[in-house]
Amino acid sequence: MVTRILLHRKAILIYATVILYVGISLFPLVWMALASFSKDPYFPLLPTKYSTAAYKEVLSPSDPSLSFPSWYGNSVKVTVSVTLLATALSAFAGYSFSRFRFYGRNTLMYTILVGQMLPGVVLLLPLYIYLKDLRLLDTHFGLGIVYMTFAIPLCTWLLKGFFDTIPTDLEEAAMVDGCSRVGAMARIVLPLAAPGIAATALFAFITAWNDFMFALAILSTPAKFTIGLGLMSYQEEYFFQWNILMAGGVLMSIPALALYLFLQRYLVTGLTRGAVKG
Amino acid sequence: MKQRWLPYILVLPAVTIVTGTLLLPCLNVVIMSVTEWYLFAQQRGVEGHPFVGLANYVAAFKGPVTWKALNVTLVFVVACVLIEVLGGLGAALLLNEEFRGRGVARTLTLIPFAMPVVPWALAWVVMLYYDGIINHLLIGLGITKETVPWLAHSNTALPAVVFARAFKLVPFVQVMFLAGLSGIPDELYEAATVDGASAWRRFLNVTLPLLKPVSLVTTLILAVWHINDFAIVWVMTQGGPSNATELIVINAYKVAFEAFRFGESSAIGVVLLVFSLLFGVLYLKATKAFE
Repeated sequence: MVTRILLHRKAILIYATVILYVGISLFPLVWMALASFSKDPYFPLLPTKYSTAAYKEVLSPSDPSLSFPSWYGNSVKVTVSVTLLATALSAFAGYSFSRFRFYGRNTLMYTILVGQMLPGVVLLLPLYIYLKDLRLLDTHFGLGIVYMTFAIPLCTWLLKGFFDTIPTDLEEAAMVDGCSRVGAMARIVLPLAAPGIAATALFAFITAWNDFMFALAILSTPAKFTIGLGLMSYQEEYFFQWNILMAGGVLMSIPALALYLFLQRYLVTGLTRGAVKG
Repeated sequence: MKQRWLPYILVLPAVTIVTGTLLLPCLNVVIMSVTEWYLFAQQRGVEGHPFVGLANYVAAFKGPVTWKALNVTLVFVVACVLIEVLGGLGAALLLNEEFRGRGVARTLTLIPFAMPVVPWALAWVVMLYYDGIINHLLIGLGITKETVPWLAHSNTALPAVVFARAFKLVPFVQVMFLAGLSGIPDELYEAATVDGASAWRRFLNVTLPLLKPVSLVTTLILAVWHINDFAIVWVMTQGGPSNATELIVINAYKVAFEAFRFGESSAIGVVLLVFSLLFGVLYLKATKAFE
């Protein structure tokens, strides 16, 4: 009887704490969403009237220099190209590191891993000068090259891990049956590693999507801004139009939040391999 | 013959890009840090980039600004890591209990981590505004008596930025610790209970020691991230007011892209590089123990 009451009490305590914790975690996003639907641009505590006016302004801007839709497009363009290219190149490297023991393997592998921990701002200076010399400053191509600096190490390291989990027997059997090494990789390993490859690509996508510093240094023409940089320039323009500011914020957050939902299963693997920065 | 070269051919594109965008720049930054390097010709005394020894290091670290930035960085990193590890441990223990809706709670609490940094920082800028919701809530709850201009005052800006930053990474630590907790076999707890250990003793003598490897890896990842933190601070305060939130990374960025003194900025960068590599090596050792 006493234990039952104690258990009951414990359950109530747990539920109360969980609800409080979940509430606090959701608070910023919920506040953003409410603010973005506010009819008034500025409100002391919470919006009083709601409308979709802010979203209309963001999606079809009256000021052409604050073109949120084209920033969105720029981000999609750069991020998707970097993701596809980095994943493809890293798949080869990751496969090689996973399957072969060759001279220099460890050195190359650890170079790539440690490379991931280098401070972005340190790389930024020389990369900026290279892009300047190549006349690639203020271009999406230049920004894409810079994004490869973190996309390749991240993808290689993650993919090596995913390939490691696939037993080599299957490939060996295929090769005994007359399949070439590359054929075995394409027919056996890649399909089996497909979920891991997809997860890797999504991690790379999120990292590039969320970048701010490289875009800040490299892009200078407002029309070429990526979304994070564009939002930052919103702050100067719309500081007292919180509904517009937050509508932009919500639209930038949606893809990242949706992808995390898919990636939950792989989160720990991704995180311990130093993958995503929060 | 073909077999022997295949591994190298496969890694070639990735290694080439990594060399060009990571290793070469690293080497370059070290060279720049010991030469006279300004972005614009007008700033230069002579043509080219003459060797100047440690002059850039002296220039960077003789003034108070860089020292203050190092100090701010130390406070920022330590405060963030402490809040995140303690908060994340508490959250993980809570969400490790069995209750209905646990999966949903685990997913929803990840949201702060999953949000992109720029909208997250912007939301906090507005919420922390002197007429914003945080001040209204704090006054309503009786915690503060009057509105606090959080980001506009040099005493409150750093705590406010630390709070916004740490809030975002508590779920990360939570995920790591939940993974660690799921690896602890139930038999250990049962054995401890049979031996008469209280819940607190079980936590102290079973849970904590077994979480040690994962907490080491987590702490190192967090330290590296925070040493390199840029976006959240730049969006919230740009290092102000009066350098109160100017991290070393922000300082290096300003020296390079506002003063265009690339040589001096490189010197700061090399110091950062040394710290990052140190943590990187520790991390490698820790992950080996962890996996």
